[in-house]
Order: sequence, then structure tokens, then C-alpha cells
Amino acid sequence: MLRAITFTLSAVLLLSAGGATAGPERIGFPRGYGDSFVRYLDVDRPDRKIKRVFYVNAAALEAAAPGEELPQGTVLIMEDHQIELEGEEPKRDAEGRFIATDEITNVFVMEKQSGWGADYPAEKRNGDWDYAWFGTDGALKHSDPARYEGCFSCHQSRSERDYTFTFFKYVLDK
Amino acid sequence: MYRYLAPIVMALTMPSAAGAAEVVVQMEGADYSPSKIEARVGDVLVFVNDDAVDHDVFVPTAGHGVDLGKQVPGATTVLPLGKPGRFEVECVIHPQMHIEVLVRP
Repeated sequence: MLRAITFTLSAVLLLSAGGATAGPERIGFPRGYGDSFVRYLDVDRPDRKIKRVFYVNAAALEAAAPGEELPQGTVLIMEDHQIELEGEEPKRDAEGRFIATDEITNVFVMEKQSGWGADYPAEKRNGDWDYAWFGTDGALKHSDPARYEGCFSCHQSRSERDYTFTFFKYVLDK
Repeated sequence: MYRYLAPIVMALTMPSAAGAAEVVVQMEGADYSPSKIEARVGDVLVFVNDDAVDHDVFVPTAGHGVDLGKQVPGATTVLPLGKPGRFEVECVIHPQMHIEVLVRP
């Protein structure tokens, strides 16, 4: 009897924990990513006068295969950098690219872990991905899941690429 | 392949005062036109949203990545071609929209 109650309580606690952590708070800030992750893409954003720098964890990069779903445990980072300006206009390098400064304004993380997607309804679910938006200090900028609706809806358009705009494509191209 | 498209691209290409060319890309029906472009470094792609819905020009190719942001109907955005190579243009909102671009030195 005691064993049955203990098992039931454990199951309830586990389920509760899973439900409570769905959303940005279950993603840990990947400290030290600048050294341990691989920078795979830069994207200039003229309308916002920023440069976005993309990173992936090394294990995922090694395990990812062209055209296949990305590995569980993949962590992708999109870092917003301020850029050098000449007056109001972006300064460009010899190839016409924006020049990032060291000033980072946002760190967006998307992480894929087995089973995470089950916490979301089918019409919202992005596979097993979840999203988080951090400041450079590693603190979440927003913990309200409603602030992440845009992430889910926008990434839906790339369901054929495992919900990623850039990394699945990068693996295909490399 | 590109030689067959050259007349189409040339018809939509306008030389600028500096000798560089502007290649006009239209978006009507959530479809980029032309869908293949051959240009030179210094040329400019001009995206004209002649469609009834928003678009968002996006280049995911490493070494050429650009996101021009949301472009409402009637708006125009430009993409200067500063380096040679091949890249692909997509739309953030409409994944079927696609252009292949070859930029020669």
C-alpha cells in the first residue's frame, strides 16, 4: 500500500514538474558558449541596424546529418550585436558586411530535448523545441510563455527544416 | 542554366549612374520573379513588394546572411551585392519563395 502511494505521488510530482517547466525556464543559459559553441552564421539586419551571430553546440554540429532531423540536445543561439555606424548609416567591411561591435543586446536560445514538444498543443508545437530570451547576464528577459508565441508561430514556417531557419540549411549546404 | 535566364534578367536590370546595375525582383502572388539571378559585385537587388501581403527577404546562406525585415505591400528594400559567390534568397514568412543568386567578381 505504502509502495503504491509513494509511486503515485512520485508520478504526480514528475508530471507536475514537467508541466511547470515547459517554456523558457527549462532552458539554461549556455554560459561560456562563445568558447565552447561553434559560430556558423552571421546575418546582417539593416532595418534594425544590428548583426545577428549564430552558434550551435559542438556535439550537435558533429551529429547533424544533411536533410535529417536535428539531434536531440541541439542548442542554437542567436546573439544580437550592435554595429559600427558612420553617422546614421551602418559601416561596412570590404565585402559589404556590417561590422559588429562587442555590445550584445539579446541572446536568444532554442533547444531541442526529447519529449519537450509533448507539453504543447499540436497547432503550436515546434517538434521538441523550446525557446528562451536572455540578457547578457544570463537572466531571462521574459519568463511569460506568452512572449514566446511569436517564436513558435514564425518557426512553424520551417517545419520541413526541423523548425530552424538557419542551422538545418547550414548542414545541408556545408 | 543561367544563360537561358540572361535575357529575362537583363530586361529587369537597370544600369545605375556608377555603372553598377539594379536587378528588380517582384513578389506578386508570394513568388519571387525572377527566380534565378546572375549579377556582379557592386550590383544591387531591388525587392519590390507588389503583392497584397507582407514579405521578409532573408538570405540564410553562410557568408551572405541578411534579413531585410518585414516588407509591407508597396514597400521596396535593397540588397547591395558586396562579395562574389552563390546564395539563396528566401522569405521568412513564405517558405516556398526562393531565388538562386550568382554574384560574379
